[in-house]
Amino acid sequence: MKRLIRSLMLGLLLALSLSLSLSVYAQDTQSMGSWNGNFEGFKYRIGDNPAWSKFDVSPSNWKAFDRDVLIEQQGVYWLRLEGNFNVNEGVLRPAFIHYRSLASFELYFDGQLLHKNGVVGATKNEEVPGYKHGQLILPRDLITSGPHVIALKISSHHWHKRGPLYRSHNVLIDLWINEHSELFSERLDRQFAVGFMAVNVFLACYYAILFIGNRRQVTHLCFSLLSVGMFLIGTFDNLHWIIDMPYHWDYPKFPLFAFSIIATSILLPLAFMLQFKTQHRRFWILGLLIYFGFCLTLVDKQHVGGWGIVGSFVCAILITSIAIFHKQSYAWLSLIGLILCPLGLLIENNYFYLSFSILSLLMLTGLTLQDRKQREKHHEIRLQASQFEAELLRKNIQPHFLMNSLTTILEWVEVQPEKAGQFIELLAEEFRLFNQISSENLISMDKEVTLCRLHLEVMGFRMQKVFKLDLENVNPDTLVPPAIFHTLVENGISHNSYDKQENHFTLKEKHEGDELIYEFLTPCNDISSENRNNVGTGVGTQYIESRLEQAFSGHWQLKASKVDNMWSTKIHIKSLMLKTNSEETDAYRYR
Amino acid sequence: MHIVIVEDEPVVAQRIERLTRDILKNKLSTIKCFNAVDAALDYLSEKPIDLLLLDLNLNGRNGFDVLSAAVAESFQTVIISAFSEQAITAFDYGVVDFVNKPFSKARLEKAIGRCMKEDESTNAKTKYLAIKKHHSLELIHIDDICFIQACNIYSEVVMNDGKIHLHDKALGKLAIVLPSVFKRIHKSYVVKMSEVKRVIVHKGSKYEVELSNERALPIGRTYYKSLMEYFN
Repeated sequence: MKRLIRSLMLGLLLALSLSLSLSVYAQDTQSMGSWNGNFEGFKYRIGDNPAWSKFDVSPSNWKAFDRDVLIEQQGVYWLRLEGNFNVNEGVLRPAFIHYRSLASFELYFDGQLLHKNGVVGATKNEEVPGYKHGQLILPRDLITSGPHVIALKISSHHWHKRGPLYRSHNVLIDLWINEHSELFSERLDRQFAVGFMAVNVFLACYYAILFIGNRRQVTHLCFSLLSVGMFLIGTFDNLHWIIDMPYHWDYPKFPLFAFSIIATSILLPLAFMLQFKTQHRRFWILGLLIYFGFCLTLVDKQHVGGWGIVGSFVCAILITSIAIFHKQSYAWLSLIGLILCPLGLLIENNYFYLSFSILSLLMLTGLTLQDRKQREKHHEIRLQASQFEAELLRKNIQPHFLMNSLTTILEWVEVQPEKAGQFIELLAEEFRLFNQISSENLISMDKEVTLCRLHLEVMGFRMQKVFKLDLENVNPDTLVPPAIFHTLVENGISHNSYDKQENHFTLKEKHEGDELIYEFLTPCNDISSENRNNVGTGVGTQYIESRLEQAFSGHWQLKASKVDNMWSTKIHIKSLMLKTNSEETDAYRYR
Repeated sequence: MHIVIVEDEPVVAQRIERLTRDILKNKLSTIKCFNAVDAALDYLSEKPIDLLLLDLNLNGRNGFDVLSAAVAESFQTVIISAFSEQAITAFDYGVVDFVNKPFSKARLEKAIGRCMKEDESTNAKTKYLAIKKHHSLELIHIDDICFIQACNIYSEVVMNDGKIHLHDKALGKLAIVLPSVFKRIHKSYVVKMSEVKRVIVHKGSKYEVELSNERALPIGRTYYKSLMEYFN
């Protein structure tokens, strides 16, 4: 419950931060004056001449922008962008020129130097790399109707032209002119991104703490890594918005970005596989890896991330749907998140990070609720186990058995001390074995038979008769819940009066179809059979039934009937549910 | 003294018999052991006895039937049991004593000693008296009894509403299993003191108690003193 509240609070926090950023966005003042500009088509010229910044330059030596040529360019070169403004009213505010560049440059507007991004240099040593992203102010007196020219003196020595995984379509430079600043604080999508990063930093820490504090469940680790991956995607995608990033950092950043996308794309379905305990995980992961291998080799590098995310989502949706089909609790929460995410993207590109934040929160909610359910179930199993243990031990000290044994000992101590010694030894042996098996969930038939025979010997000693247990065809390695046949032996003795000196109990094992049948035969005389309680009402029978149910949930039957002068109890168990001593019993071990 | 033991554990039965012989010595006339109630009942219907030492598990279906059948008889009943929590119920039904297993000789001696007393209430907890009717048993509540009158070797239990039940125990033996609110006032009468309205003194040292239902019962000379002590 606490965790649920915590996750709800987190959601509230996110919602709050979103509404805050919305209000900031709405503050954008009304446009003051209006103009429109039209600048298109870069032209370039190799070499350097300050005069090239001027408006009236002979256009004959300028060629149309060719990125491939400029990539190879080692010296300084110039770019020119001609266009015009149409001013409708008096312009009262400056405009902004925004740039995204992989070069250092000086920007001239109608021959006037407006901005220096880094230091342009003829050699790599002389050049100081400029920022990848930025904006500059275009003073309002420069915005006049008529033709204008933007000239750039450029060098791009620090551009890594051919790195692996490098985006081949990367622009050299991109300019656009706007009425308003595009600083980080004024862009809603970037604020969603920061919210997304904050959510994922928090979640990464939270899942890591859960992993450490919660018996190191791999699921929590995977969720933590997934959040780290998501945080890295957010960071790398927005680095140039958040910090002033020199353009040559773009190369190391991009492979890292691509790597974090691929890692996250694998971690997302993996997290769901672990959360919902999907079967054949190996095949799913293998399939995903093959898919990503295919993406990396065959798909255009600029689309690798996109393809990765699509594959990851398809896989995650499949896994979650299978989990819902298998009635896994709270899988529907994750499916809603997984479907909302691409839907949000379809509606509006700006919502990319918002929808991913919502997915993260839904995943948190799903996992937390599932964890709670598992904890409750675990607690229940523990409780049941300790109840069974207590019940078994109580059987051992139940008054009829214990007090009569003690009275018998007392009599022998006074009359035949030697016999008392033998009896105490035998009793101790039965207690020891009982103690040994009481915490077990399943024991071998071998142990069970030993326990039955010890009890028969104790009772024989006490009743001064001979009780024997005959076995027919019993596999000593089969695992059964402890003390179920012991209970039958106990019932057989306490509900009967034995006139004969020697009495035989029989345990038979049979296989019929897909069932294994244990038949336990107790000698019974006419009087005792009348007094006998029907199967299913006695305390002993209840114990047997609950133990069988716990071990073989629903795949068993208990039948009792009178055959000749024997009382027969049959236990049917579906062979499928049975395990033998040599097999793994971990599934049944809860301690 | 004639004693019957019902115990299905042979060694325990042997112990009870051995200790009883030890305790009673020559006061013991006969002692008989049975390993089941059913077998004992046949014997009891033929031979009158003084004491039944009964191993009883009230968890069983007919535990109560056996218990109420036993306490309705003329003899006293002592339960010897492994189930100590059943003592309360057994005392409700009017057993003289309830001995927990395992037991020492001293404990058994105390129980047998209680049975040999007369008049003195040893079980203040009795809530019901079991009365034998033709073919069944009737349980009457102690609170509904007004007084008990000796009737040969039996007792007549007179209820508040005037009904009379015949109990198989002699008055002296019955008095043992009644709570201390019942007092012997005469060799033939035991009265529940809460029903006594006043004591009437007649000429010639003749005393009577007047009950709340207007009935007067004589007070025996030997009982007068202890009765007066009770009132003071």
